[in-house]
Amino acid sequence: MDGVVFHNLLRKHRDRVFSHAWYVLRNREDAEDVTQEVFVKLWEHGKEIDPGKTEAWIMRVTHNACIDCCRRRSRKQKRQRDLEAEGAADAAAWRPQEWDPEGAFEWTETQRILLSAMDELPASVRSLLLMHYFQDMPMDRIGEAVGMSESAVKVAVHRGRKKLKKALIKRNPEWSRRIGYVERIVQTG
Amino acid sequence: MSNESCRQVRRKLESLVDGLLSRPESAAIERHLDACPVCRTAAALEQRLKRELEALPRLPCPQRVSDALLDAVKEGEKPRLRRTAWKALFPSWTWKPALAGGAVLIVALCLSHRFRETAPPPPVYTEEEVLRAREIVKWSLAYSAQQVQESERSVFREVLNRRLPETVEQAVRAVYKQTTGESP
Repeated sequence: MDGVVFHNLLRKHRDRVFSHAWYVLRNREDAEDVTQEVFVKLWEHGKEIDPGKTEAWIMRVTHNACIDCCRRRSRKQKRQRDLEAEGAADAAAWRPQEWDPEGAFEWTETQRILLSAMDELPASVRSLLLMHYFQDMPMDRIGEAVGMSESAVKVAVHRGRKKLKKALIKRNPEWSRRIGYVERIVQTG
Repeated sequence: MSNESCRQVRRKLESLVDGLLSRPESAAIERHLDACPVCRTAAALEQRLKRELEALPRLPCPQRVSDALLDAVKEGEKPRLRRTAWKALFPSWTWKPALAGGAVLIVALCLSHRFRETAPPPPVYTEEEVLRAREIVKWSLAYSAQQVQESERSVFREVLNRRLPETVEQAVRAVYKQTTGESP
């Protein structure tokens, strides 16, 4: 692949790849490794990629690299995540671990709760949800990118969203109150 | 509003906020939402979840990651994966053989300890067998001593036949006499 083209693609997509990897893996070093892996593959296979489908290709490689990374983490990482999930019961205790202080964001309370809740989803579902909402990819393109049918992606996103909503309601008193009100009305109404 | 229509609407709220419904379907649900504050609340929550996911901040890729890739490209090399020092020193797979080796060692130690504890007692010999063994040992030792003595004599003879200087010969004869009690 031409160096200039690679440079442009790197500049254009590096943040979205890194963000996606970080939100899926929630670990800075792993997200950096995934970002490098994606662009190394882009450098290697650049000539074979249809220019109109570069974005989908990058997201597919990112998705797969994140899933592989999760598998590699195996039991040790699972234990760590379980501990984080346990700790996440107290939403206020959540901190963006492993994140560089200089790059730290002012996370809103809802974002903290949302990220804690996302930890409870399987990595593949988290990745699909992020592709759809955070990366603004339509379902059919997600399916094309990850090798799933559009309907399978829809079902996975729907289930993920449902779980996320449950987790959010469990953690957020305001959501809990409002949903409780809705449930009560629907049941007795 | 009936419970049934509320349930039907709530099943479609997610698709509504995602913009996946046809125009007539959306219009029908919007009409229901105008009239039903409960479903409106549920729709607002769906909308809020979508908004929050969409509004997650885009995190900047650390400069060092793209620098490493661009440096490699500039130098015309294939970009190499950067790993942290400790991952490079101890990649995850190296732990597996180490763990397996450790487990084997522990098992071997446990087994050897167990076998040592449960080793069978030494066999009991009869008095006759012990006496016979003693005789064999005594004769073997005597035979060995005789052989050693003969070897010494032959060595001395060898040495003396070579016509050593008189002083050395005298010294050798003295040592021989002292050792064996005989004159060479």
